[in-house]
Amino acid sequence: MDHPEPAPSTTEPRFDLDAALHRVAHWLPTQGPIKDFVHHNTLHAFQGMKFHDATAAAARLYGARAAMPPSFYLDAYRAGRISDSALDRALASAYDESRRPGARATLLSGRLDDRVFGGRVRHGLRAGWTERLGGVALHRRSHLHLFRLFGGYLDQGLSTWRMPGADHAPFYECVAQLVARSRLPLLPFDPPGARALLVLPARDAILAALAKTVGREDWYEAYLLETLLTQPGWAGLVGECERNPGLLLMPRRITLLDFVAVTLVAEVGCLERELRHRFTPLSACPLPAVETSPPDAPPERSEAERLLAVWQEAFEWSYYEPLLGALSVNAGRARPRGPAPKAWAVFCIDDRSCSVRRHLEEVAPDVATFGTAGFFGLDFFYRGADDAIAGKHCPAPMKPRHLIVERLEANRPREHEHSAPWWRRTLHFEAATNSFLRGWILSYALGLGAAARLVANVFLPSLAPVTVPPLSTVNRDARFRLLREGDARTPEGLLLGYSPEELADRVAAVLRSMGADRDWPELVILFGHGASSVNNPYFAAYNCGACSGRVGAPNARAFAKAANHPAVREALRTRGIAIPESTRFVGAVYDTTRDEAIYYDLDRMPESFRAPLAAFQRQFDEVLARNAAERCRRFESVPLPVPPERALEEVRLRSMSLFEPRPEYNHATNASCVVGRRTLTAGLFLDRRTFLSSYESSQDPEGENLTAILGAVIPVCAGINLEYFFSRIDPRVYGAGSKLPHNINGLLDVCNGIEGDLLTGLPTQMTEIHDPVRLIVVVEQTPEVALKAVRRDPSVFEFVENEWLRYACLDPGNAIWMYLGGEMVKTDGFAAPRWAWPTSLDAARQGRDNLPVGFIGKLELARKGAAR
Amino acid sequence: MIEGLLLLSITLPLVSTLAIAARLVTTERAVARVAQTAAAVSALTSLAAVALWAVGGGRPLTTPPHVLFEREGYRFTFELTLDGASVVFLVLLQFTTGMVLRFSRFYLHREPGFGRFFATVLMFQAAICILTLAGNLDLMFAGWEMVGFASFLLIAFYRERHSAVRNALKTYSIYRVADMGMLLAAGLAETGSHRELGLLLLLAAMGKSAQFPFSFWVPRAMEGPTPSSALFYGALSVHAGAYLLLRTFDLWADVTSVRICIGAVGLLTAALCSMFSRVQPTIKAQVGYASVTQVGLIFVELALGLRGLALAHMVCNALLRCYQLLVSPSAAAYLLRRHASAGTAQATQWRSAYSRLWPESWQPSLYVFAVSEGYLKEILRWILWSPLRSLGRLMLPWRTTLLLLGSVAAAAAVIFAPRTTERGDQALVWAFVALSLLCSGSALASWRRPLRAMGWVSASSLAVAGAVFALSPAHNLFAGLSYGAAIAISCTLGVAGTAMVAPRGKKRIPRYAGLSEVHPLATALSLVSALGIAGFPLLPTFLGEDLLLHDTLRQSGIASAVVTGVLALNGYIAVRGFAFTFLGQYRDGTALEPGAASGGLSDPPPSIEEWPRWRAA
Repeated sequence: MDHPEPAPSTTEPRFDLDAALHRVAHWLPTQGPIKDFVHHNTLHAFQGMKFHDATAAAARLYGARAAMPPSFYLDAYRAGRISDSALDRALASAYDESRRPGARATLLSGRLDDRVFGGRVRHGLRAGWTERLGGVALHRRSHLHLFRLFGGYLDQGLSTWRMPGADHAPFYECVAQLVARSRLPLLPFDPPGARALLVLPARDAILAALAKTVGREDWYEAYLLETLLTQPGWAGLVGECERNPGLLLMPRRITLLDFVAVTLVAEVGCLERELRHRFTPLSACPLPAVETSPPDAPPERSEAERLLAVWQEAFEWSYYEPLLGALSVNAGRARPRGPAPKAWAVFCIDDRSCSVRRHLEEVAPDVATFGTAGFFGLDFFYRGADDAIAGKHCPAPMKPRHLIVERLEANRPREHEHSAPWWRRTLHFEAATNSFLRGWILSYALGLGAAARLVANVFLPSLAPVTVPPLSTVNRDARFRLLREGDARTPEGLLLGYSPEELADRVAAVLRSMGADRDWPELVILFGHGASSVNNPYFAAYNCGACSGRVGAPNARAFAKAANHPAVREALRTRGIAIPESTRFVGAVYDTTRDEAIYYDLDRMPESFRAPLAAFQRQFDEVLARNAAERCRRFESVPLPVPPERALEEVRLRSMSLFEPRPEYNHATNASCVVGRRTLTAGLFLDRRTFLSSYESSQDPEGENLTAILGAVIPVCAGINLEYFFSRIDPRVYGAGSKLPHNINGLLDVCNGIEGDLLTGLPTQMTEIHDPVRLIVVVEQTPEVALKAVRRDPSVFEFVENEWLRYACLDPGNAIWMYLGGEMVKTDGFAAPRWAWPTSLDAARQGRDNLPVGFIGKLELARKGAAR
Repeated sequence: MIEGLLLLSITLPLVSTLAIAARLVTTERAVARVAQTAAAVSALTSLAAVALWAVGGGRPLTTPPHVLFEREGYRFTFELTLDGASVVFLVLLQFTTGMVLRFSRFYLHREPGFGRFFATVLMFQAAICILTLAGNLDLMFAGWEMVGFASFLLIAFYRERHSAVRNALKTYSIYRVADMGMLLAAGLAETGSHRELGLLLLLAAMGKSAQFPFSFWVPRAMEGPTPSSALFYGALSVHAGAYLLLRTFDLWADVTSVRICIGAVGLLTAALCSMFSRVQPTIKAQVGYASVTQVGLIFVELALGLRGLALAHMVCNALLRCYQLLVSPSAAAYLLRRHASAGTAQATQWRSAYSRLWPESWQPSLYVFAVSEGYLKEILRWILWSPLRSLGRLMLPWRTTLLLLGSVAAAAAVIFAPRTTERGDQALVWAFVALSLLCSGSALASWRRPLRAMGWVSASSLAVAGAVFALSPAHNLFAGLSYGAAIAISCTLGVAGTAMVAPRGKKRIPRYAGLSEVHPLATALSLVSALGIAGFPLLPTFLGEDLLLHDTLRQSGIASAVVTGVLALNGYIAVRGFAFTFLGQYRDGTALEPGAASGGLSDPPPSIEEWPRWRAA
């Protein structure tokens, strides 16, 4: 090389590629294929930092917003959505007494700096260098060639002609072989320099490419980071698939090392092609000083950033304050002991169950409701009758050891059209329509039919045309064997079902933690949940988060089966839970999009339970209609007011319409999580913003049950909350942008157009009405036990300690304690709610915005609150 | 009666486009109501016209021509034709547009740009109505151009996205090539031989219908909202070329060589695109190539003279692809479900017939060929754009000389025009043509400076006017002057618009600066200017362009071919300038550097002027 090579400093060790890649991979998104959409903290990589430091560091790294623009908060303040008391609280936590008035004046002046960081991609080593190589950033050239290779190799069955060797060769080798064996040039790898690199092993190719392009070892890591950040979607997916190869239906041997090797060689090829002669490495070019250190230290935040964080906290406190006040008042309320409930209904903790439970209690006062994580303590892989592969039905971090297989009863026809003869199938996705001759014939054959289908769906949406039951739904007619017959394992090492003891352990744990282990009612109905929507690539994000983005039906059904089984009941009795013969468990599934319920195994139910169940079903139908009416107020396209019957029609139509990008709003507006008895929240209008988990503190003096609950609840709920949070504050960087132009790429994810990177996060259609508020978790416990319980699991405590959520507890004296600065601090000054509505339906008539926390039917309480 | 109805079905969407674009209606509800009413009434009047026509016997019918403009031998007439083909295509277009509009009314709910989308789709509806019903090539060209521009606007619908705007420009550049063929064909309609006409029409159809070697633009155009992709690249726009050939069947059917060319182009396209379609990992690209494959086969059917079959094929293919694209988001759920029930083992064994057909040793080469999409993009770039840009880059240092020469030539033309010999005339014409070409090349090369590019485009257009004038000073004075005046207005607007946004003291605006975000007025001015330079129908330059070509084509074929090329190129450059300046992601120029807060920034980065110097270091 003829340029002066900077002498590598002797004290530094040689560049360690694996360690560098490992560190770089840390900053990439961690979203797997879209089929298992698991909500997670978008800034998981920064979770070791305090929240505001983390958002600031991420803003510098990715070029994203750290909060909403200042105008958003100012508007909220002017509209009364940020209260003065909340603003005071936020200021008090950030500034000394003396500086508060000044800070407050700056905030309200509206002159806050609204600039956004450019990020490493735009203001890094690479940008400074490559944008000057012909005026176009290098990645703009290389992506055109690279993305089709990534897609071609990783494709899970969309393209019909697989990349030769993709099924067995590792990625880098596959590309190298392709280039070597092809008589035609594969474009970026065509120039001699790139070809020479491609004959080396991946590791050497990377080092050689870096030497060529960067030329300074201490910059390699920063350069690698910037390179991967230009294509975060693909890089993140590859990282995920490397860590967890089981994510891909069609196995692919791809590692980040291979991925980086192909990327860097392609870039060398692009540079050579473009410049046609040897290019100067980065180290020999005059570059501005840019940040090259890894972003793991909290950055020094500017005054504007601090003030914006104050706005954000004030916005959050404006929600927390009335909520905490309401909980405190509601818990302290003396309530008459009603008759023992006739039935219990157990729901997922999901915020969408919040309103269903409220309506159920209003419609049927003799039904008690409970909330528990929607996998009902049963962690298993499940294979539906139509499935050839099994899906995981438990929270993402768990590793189940059991497999449940669903079988159809003999002689019953399979319901699903995939097993139907070809003439009954939807041929519009058949690859044959794309081919030359068959496409010719099929375009005649299907053209007019397609028109008919289009007209039918545009004017009369129905479930017929392209609806597909999501992976592992339960066939109502199917049976599965829950109890295993032996200890034989499947080739994957899974046990085929549970033993009665194992089931009893799990059932007992769930019942105990909910405080539902005595005073048995006649019926216990367990509602798993799922969603049915059409034309929606994000279908998995609509399902149960505690079931890894799958439908919770098998879990609910299995739990009911287990709790009804004599052997399991026997085992439960030895654990001190005596379920009487007069109690029957029923598994069911609640469709959050269509407001529908399906009940399982009714044909095997003893006659005596039929009448009570039928009564419950009738009541629940009314609940569903009311719930639909409450949901409809959020849909701008539905004129208000909407009576329940029409609302039900409306939401069902939505779920079947090809043209509806918002079948439901999922978890949008979620903001809080209450872990405690239902008496805390019963009779409160929480506006579907709260995850509700049942917890009986009186039986848990050491907080062990609480630890177990928080272990499932906090990762799931905080994951959902933070993903919505970040997708809302920066839809471009953290979110997936608008859903409308999305294109399915390799059945892995969506991208824009055909040349775009894979998109991570949520589309704006899911987050547009979301108010970015960090989750507040309120547990019903004494401060000591609450703190001890959450400290037991370091991975859970990290959320609390670093303020990724707010942790509070309600002590037996109904005082509120909050985790602030390392300890539980008694916090007061929360006013009781000033709003009350006779029924939930009345509340739901109040326009489309978020409603303040209020009472349902407790007008006298509201008046008292107002007078205070 | 029939004419009135048809006229109504064309003008209604157009009027509502203008109403939405002028912000007479702004709320989502109002826009949707206006758009749906206009589209529905347009569809109903079309159907009524068709019914009347059918009752009247269903014989081919041409409405009495209305002369919109007439000048010594040149007439721009408005006449509509109803025959089997146009009736079928009319029904098809009204059906798909209506369905897609209804679909989008819900699909685009709350989307920023709701009005923009509907205004553009309605403009498209009017344009494709004109294209379908036009009784002469001049009128058809008007619809043709509007379709192209609507396409550009919808691909760049998400104007803040780099790749969307880039691909919109790419598509538009191919459309300009097609426009060239169409423009020349329209000019030669009366005087040209059938072979010339046939080949020119084929060129036009190839570009618009993405036939070989232009096929690559269709998948890349899938950047807008899904319904617009379905309407344009699944259904209508991509079939417009085939429809053009169908309508002009009688013009070229008797020339065997043209038929062979059409058949060969179609067959080649079908073979290649069905291959490209197989390797696409994205659903929209797959459907896009599949659609083009079938259009290729339609070309073959047309070449064989199977008009009925081709028409049926067109309708069926349009409907199928439109539906496939509209339901493309379902592909993930549907195919995953199928793979889940088929099982991994089975899915891995499942291989394309293609990979079984060829010997193992050919596989890598074939796959590479398919995944590189036959290198069509690179080849076209190499043939078409690189030479022009190199030429321009070469000329840039000589710009003063060039302008001087131009002025001299202009002076010579004015002074000697009445008295020169035939040969002198020819020399002058060619001087002007060469000058215009060089100016256009310079404009193409100076993309970093939009103002300067605008100046070059103006110079080039004036040189075109000069060439026309020199061709026959007495005869063409009017054509040259009218075109010159129209283009001068457009250029002035463009210069004004660009000057408004150019930062003080800086002539350079970064590529894809996205200034429409902050300068709505300048954006509107520049858009009108770009439309004017591109010869958008409804604007005076369109007529000027038409007139110009009509006059020159009769006098010198080659010169006018070059002139057409220059016109097409200028239009592209103007639209490109608009896109570079006003579309793209807006950055307010003050984005914080990562090190800013910790004081990491030491010296400003080297300016772009410095790059060639240290690149060579």
